[in-house]
Amino acid sequence: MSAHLLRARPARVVPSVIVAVVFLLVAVGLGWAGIAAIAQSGAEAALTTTLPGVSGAESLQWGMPIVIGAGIVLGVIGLILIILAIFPGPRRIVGFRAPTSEYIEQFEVALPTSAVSDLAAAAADSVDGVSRVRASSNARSTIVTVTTPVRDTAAIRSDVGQAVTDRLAAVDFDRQPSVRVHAQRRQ
Amino acid sequence: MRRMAAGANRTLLFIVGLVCLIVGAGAAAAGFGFLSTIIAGLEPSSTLGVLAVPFTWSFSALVAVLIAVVLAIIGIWWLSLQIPRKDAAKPLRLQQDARTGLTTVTANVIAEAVADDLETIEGVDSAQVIVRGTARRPELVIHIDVDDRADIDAIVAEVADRVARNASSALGEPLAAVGLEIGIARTPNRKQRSVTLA
Repeated sequence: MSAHLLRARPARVVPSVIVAVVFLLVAVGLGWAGIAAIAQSGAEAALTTTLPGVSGAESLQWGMPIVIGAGIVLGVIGLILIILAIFPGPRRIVGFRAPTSEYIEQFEVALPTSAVSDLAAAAADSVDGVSRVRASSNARSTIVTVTTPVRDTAAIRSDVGQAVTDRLAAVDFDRQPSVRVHAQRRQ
Repeated sequence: MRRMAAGANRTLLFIVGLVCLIVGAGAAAAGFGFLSTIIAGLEPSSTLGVLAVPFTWSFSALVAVLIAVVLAIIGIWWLSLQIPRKDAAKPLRLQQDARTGLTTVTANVIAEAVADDLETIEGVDSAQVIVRGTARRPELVIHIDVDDRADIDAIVAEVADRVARNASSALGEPLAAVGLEIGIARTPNRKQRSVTLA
């Protein structure tokens, strides 16, 4: 039995795809240079046959700003990759207090943060005077931005805050997300 | 609800990151002259010509092709890991004693039946189910999309009670684990819904 059936943290797919594609590009470049050199001069060929520019490294010194800069950039990229690997990342789901069931030994219920945003946006959209809604959420809070043609936005902001809070309170979350509302006036 | 290769991704990112960090920091340290006391001749004024030497060796083109093949295999394998996996259960053997006959059911059949059952719940728009584990220890991973005005607590209670009871009686065993992910069904325009009055 798995410890958790629902994935709570990001799987780092985007950085992995980027690095894998970089691997493939380097492989294509290196492979092309190697095969071209072998085609020209046989199996004993040196890579400088097709990459004569490599000898230009003689003109570069370790102390040159371009070399130091390249080293720093590579080090920073490495540091970013290590941070992405070690840090768990933001939670992508909000836990729900699952009821006990005589038919289920381990019951795990959760809403993705995008679903919490959709719930909040739907609740805000039901308030009179709201013309457009945008909502974004993390595991702890929801930020709702509404657009209204009304000049005094304070009342709308309060009504939207109440509607969203009531809607989220009706769901039995492990931890209720806090609600923040921004109102913009636009005709 | 499908499985991603989070562990493999993090391990490979750590390894690649560590290599980049060591090489990058080493180059910068050599540039600032910090390595000249450790490695003789690695002064900031010395050239990078030493790095070009392996390119002039015989058979270096062949070695480059081999390295390219290894890098390509790693890259393609890593990309292939990014495809989400269902990891559904193998066909479930439900019989008590194989000598008296075999009763086999595929996980997809159970999954579709549970999904159909879930879609009868009021407020549930659509459902996808994956059955994992074995016939003795079945696990269900469920994703349902519900209406934005649905009573989510009531839906979860019905899943825990009626749907779990039906699934468990179909499989003949209590469910070892159930993971339920609830999404909100996308409606094009919330303000334009038609209702039929009886």
